[in-house]
Amino acid sequence: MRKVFLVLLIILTISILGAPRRVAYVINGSLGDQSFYDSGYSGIKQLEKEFGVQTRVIECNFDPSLYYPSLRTAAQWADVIFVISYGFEEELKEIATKFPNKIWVNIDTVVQDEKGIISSIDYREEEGAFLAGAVAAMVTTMTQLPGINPQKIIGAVGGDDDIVIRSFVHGYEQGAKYIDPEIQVKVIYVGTWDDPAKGKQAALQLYAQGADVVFQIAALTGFGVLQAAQEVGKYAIGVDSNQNPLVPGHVITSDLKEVGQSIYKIFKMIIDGTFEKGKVYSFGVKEGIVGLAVDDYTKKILPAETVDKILKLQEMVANGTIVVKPYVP
Amino acid sequence: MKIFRRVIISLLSIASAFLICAILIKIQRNSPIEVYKALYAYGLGSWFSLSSTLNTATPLIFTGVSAAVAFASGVINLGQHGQLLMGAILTAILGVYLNLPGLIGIPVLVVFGGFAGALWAGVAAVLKKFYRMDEFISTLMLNFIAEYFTIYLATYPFLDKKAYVPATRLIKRIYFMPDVSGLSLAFFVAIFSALISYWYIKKTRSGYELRMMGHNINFARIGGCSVELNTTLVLLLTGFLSGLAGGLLILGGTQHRFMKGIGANFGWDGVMIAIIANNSIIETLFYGLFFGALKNGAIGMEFETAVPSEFILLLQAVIVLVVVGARSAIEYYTQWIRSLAKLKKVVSGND
Repeated sequence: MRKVFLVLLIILTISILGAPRRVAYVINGSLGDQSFYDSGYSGIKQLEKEFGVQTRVIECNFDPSLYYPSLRTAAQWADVIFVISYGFEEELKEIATKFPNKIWVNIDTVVQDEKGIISSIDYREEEGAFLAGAVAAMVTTMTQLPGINPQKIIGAVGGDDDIVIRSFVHGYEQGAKYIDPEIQVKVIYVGTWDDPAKGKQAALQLYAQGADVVFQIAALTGFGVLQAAQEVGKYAIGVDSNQNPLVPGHVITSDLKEVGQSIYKIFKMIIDGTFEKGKVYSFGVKEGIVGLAVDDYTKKILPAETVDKILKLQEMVANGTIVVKPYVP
Repeated sequence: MKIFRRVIISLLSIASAFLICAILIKIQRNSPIEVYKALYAYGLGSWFSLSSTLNTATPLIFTGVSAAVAFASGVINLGQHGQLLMGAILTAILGVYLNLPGLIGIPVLVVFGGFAGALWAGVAAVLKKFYRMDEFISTLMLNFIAEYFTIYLATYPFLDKKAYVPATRLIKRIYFMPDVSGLSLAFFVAIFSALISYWYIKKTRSGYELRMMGHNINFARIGGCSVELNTTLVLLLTGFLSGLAGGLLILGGTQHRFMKGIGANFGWDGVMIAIIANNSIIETLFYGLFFGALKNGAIGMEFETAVPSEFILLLQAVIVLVVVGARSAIEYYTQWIRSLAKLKKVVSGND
């Protein structure tokens, strides 16, 4: 009996000591975008609350001179490092090789090192964007809604002209064409992630060119798109977090990419011991990480049958009836 | 005696800036001692911290010296940012396509980077020489052109299609700057360039002319200096220094490629450092290292104490204000006391 207790005690102490206690969230941009980076932050906060871990967020504010030292310092301090490594994939590989005992989880892109230390969370963002494109196409053809013109034009405002944003646009176009092949998609890449004024300007241009719905894919820059929609009385689609309440009545829906939830999922796997190093975890509509935010704000703008149609489409993407082609650079 | 006084003023000002910020930290219910301890530990405390501080300081030293040399000669070159970017992009592109053995390739690429910076400053020099355009405005505006031109090059013609951000391809591995257990050789190049600049300004005839121009341009002109030629020279020289910073950022930094935002704030930090160093090159060197330590220690401080690293920007600003303020205040009051003493002498002499 005593032996059993002793063994249990040892197992317990090992599991407590072995459990990660310090979690770092290193991001290339900055918090406060109410979208991509904030979604991840909500997950980090959840870890703090539920698992009692110590957490730190390091914002690099798009300053490449901070990437290397931030990551290197994170490696010294933390046990688990969640990193959004746009622009410092090589540095991530280098540092992870130096600290192979830490748990490295790269978010949103796939980074793989030779020894299989870094795991990646890859989102099938084209699936969510497909749904966003379908919604945009439906709305631009519903001329009975206020502010909709007969032209079949929809728009999108992207941050940088990069692989992930292209993949969003690729899905968006597929979704629009799925509803109506005649729909024209106009895209503006503004080249910044943290300048809402520029986002607003780009959206106003698109609205002036006849677009009724503009999809924002630009983190904080995209907040300007939502404001522009309100100003001209047209519609916008939010991204990454649920942005419907930000500008009520003009944001039809949001293409969710629940970075926070995926962080939570992965961390739970780490605690359970089912987590695998070096693996690429792919999350899409099926896993409930990517998808549309359809709530009361949506229902106030769209008639009930359209909302049902949207939800049905989402189900079809989830169960594989509709296959969205990924973007190939 | 004068040097001694300057060192004392600097040290006292920095100490009081730290004190002021300690009060601010205390108001935020954090422990200033913990914060400064972490800042020290991650800025200077270990070889790793020290070497990354020196690496961080490298571009700051270049841009700082560039600004200091220009301002000391009365030439307002504010184009360090653009010159650095032009140096960086040329080095990054040549580093991908140029075929040279590493030992020759590295210096060649660095010098090319310098020339790119010099050429970019040369545009301002041409505008000044032929159109009498103030270099203050032309260098400033050329920054924007360089910024968007380089982003364009990295986003379209020279884009690495596999990169997740607009960036050029990685330069050849043989061109990576060697390092001494983490300390990039670029740092030694920076120190060397600063010393050469110091020697040039202090010990050569041409350097003397430049200093006279800075003190009083009319005196220099009447004394027989070719002011126009010297202005062009200063612009090219300081452009070259900023260009070197860009080239070394590619070869000796951590990215080894040009990417959007790689110039960070090095240009403006350099201008700020030159201003608080009162355009003295040796002081610029010191403040470059000091600000490098702050910037580098800030990240570790955030990890240890959860005080956001933005706090360091505040600390920097306070240091600038206190140092510059103390210097001019002390100058003003010593002059005032001196003239008062002189006046007394004159008055008592008349008695």
